[in-house]
Amino acid sequence: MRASDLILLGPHRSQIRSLLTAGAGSERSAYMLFGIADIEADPWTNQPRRRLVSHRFHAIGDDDLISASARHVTWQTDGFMRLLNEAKANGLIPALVHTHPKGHAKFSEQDNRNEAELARTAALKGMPGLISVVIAGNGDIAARIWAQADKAEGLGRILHVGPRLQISGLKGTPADFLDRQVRLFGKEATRQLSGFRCGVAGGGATGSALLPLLLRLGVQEAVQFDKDIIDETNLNRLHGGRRSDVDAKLPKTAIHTRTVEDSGLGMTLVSVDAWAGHPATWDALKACDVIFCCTDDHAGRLFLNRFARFYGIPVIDVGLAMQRRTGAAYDLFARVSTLVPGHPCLLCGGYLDPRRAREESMRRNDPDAYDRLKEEAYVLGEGDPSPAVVTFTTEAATMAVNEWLAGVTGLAGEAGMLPTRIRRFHARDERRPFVEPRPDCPCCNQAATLGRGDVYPFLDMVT
Amino acid sequence: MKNIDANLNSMFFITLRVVQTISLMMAKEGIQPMNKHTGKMTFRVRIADENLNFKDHAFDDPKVLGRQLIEAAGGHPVDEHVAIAILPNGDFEDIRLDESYDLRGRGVEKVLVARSDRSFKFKIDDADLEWPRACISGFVLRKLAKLPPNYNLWQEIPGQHDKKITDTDVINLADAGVERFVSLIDQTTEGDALPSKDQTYLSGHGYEFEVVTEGVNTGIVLKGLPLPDGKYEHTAADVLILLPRGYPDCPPDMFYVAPKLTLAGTGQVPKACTVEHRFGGRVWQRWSRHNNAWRPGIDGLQTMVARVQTALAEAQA
Repeated sequence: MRASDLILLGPHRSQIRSLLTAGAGSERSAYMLFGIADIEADPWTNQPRRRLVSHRFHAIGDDDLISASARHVTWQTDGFMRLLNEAKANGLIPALVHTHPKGHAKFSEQDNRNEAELARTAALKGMPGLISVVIAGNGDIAARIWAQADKAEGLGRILHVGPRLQISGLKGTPADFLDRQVRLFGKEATRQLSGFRCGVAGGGATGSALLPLLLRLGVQEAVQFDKDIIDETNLNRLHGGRRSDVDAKLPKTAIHTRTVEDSGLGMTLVSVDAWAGHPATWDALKACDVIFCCTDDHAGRLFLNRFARFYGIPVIDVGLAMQRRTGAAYDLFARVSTLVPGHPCLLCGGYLDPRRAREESMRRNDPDAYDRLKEEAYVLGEGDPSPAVVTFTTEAATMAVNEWLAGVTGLAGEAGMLPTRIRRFHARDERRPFVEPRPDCPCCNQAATLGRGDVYPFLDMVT
Repeated sequence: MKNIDANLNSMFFITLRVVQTISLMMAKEGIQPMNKHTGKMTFRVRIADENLNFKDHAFDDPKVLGRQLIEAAGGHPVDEHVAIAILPNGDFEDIRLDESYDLRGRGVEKVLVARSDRSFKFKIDDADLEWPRACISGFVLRKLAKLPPNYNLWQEIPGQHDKKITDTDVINLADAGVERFVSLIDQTTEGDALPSKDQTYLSGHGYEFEVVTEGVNTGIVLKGLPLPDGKYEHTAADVLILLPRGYPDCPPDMFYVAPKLTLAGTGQVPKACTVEHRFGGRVWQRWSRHNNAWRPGIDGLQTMVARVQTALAEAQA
């Protein structure tokens, strides 16, 4: 069995917690289904890895509940076979959930015996495993998977995803250089920050500013996605970029790798020489605990917008718009959106243009067809390069990382990350636009896509 | 006991498929030549050992005991073997050790003898299978999996990359507990790379369609779409819709028709339909109809089909 970890999405965590209330001191149980995210080769270990993403919660009806006390819960298992069939038909992994209202988030001998029997049936039905989740009265959650009928393996690492972000089961002590940070956030929050595996999609202005921030915050494992070579006009904003890099035609990823290596702060940075969304990036993206979307293209954003939904991996998207409106007036916007369950997506917010995404994909993948359509004026065209100034791009990167800090540490309150913040540099203020998810939006409002994991075609879209 | 029965059944089930092939090779063998010495009829049976080597054996009596068949095949000790009669239709029948089995009565020509004391479990895709020997060849596995010629079989090796199994590979099922094999289509160029909602829509509405990929482009061809009565010089045409990367969050743009359509009566080409487009080895007439209103999650191929039908109905020179 490949090493596994669990991604537990906010809505499912709430449903699990609701069992504590429903039981009012007595144990309660439920079923769940988990999506599978198989990683052929983890970017940092090169080993295969499997992540299990919470997909759906199935309550057990009162009719099926036979008896319950503070020390036990007994229920009729007919629903379990229906769960197995659904799991099998859809390539999902079944799960049991139960509460220990008075005890700890640990599995008891009784749990071991009962689950082994259900795991046996699950195995006979061809399931790759049976997950078991237990929640204690204090809200602590533990999970394990029965990959074989007679042996359960602990799922020690759980990534909790919502407006608040947390990884349970992390070990180790924060590095010494983080002393001043520990003085603010404390050891545990600093351990959390160091433990996140971070993806940075796009190594341009914002990406180059953002990556060193992660480095200084103590992030140990990061992966960057970019295919660009530095050019002369990048030097006004690309952190780490040198004139000699332009002459040497260095890829932007090589510049950032140099920055990280020169720092000696212990970060392992992996580079993927492709645009986020290309099949070569899928494995590494699935391995991340958070992805910062620093691309300036609509196609990559469109991809990550859907990716966040299917894999439950939080995506923090950064966008900038700058223009000189009239002789003296400016429009200078930086936007940060956090794509986690419960937050509206970039399509619903109108922050990405599907038509532009289509044209960008065509320009990259089929340039001849793109040129022909451009001649006929059927595509919008790239137009002149957008203006860009380092102070704004850098501040946008800082906003994005601070939003992540708010999610992990709670520095801005228990509510954690905001769905979208728009800073208006020209007005010196910040807006929080209200966005209503469209009914049935596959990227933020469809139960069927939440935590669905691996499907064919990838993300159920044309890639 | 139930488990044992189930094991035996599945074992027979497997072996059935293997020997079906062999049966083809062995068909039309003589059954009852005369014994030269006694002048009596003899009953010839082909008996296979565990390696599936068939040898001819003759019995004077059509009724034989299971143990006689096992002994004939060299199965020792006899009580750790099982004789399996292969019926003319390819089905199998267990012959008990002391059962007097009338080969003639069931038309049995072939018998398989295998060790009955243990078997080896493995999986091909989701099917649980057993094989009565430790070793199995890639050829036999392929037969068990009923793989079409364009599929390959892969062996899952924990913690490593999967290994492709060729016909001549021999796999030891005793090596590491349960072995698992997975079938994979050899090459995939077209087929089901269509979002699930569109698959459901097209199949549910009886469209005949094909997903065609050419280079980096994916297109869907709706076959033989009926055209408005009397409007064109054809009554039906194929319609191509190119699906951009990012579809269904990204909208498709124009559509394409083959054969080239001209208006009935005048023979004129409809407006904005003069450009030819090559895709999937065919020449298509491009219908430059644009509509960038697209609602992700709501719009899909059903929207495009409606647009196509409107365009075809409204076309003018």
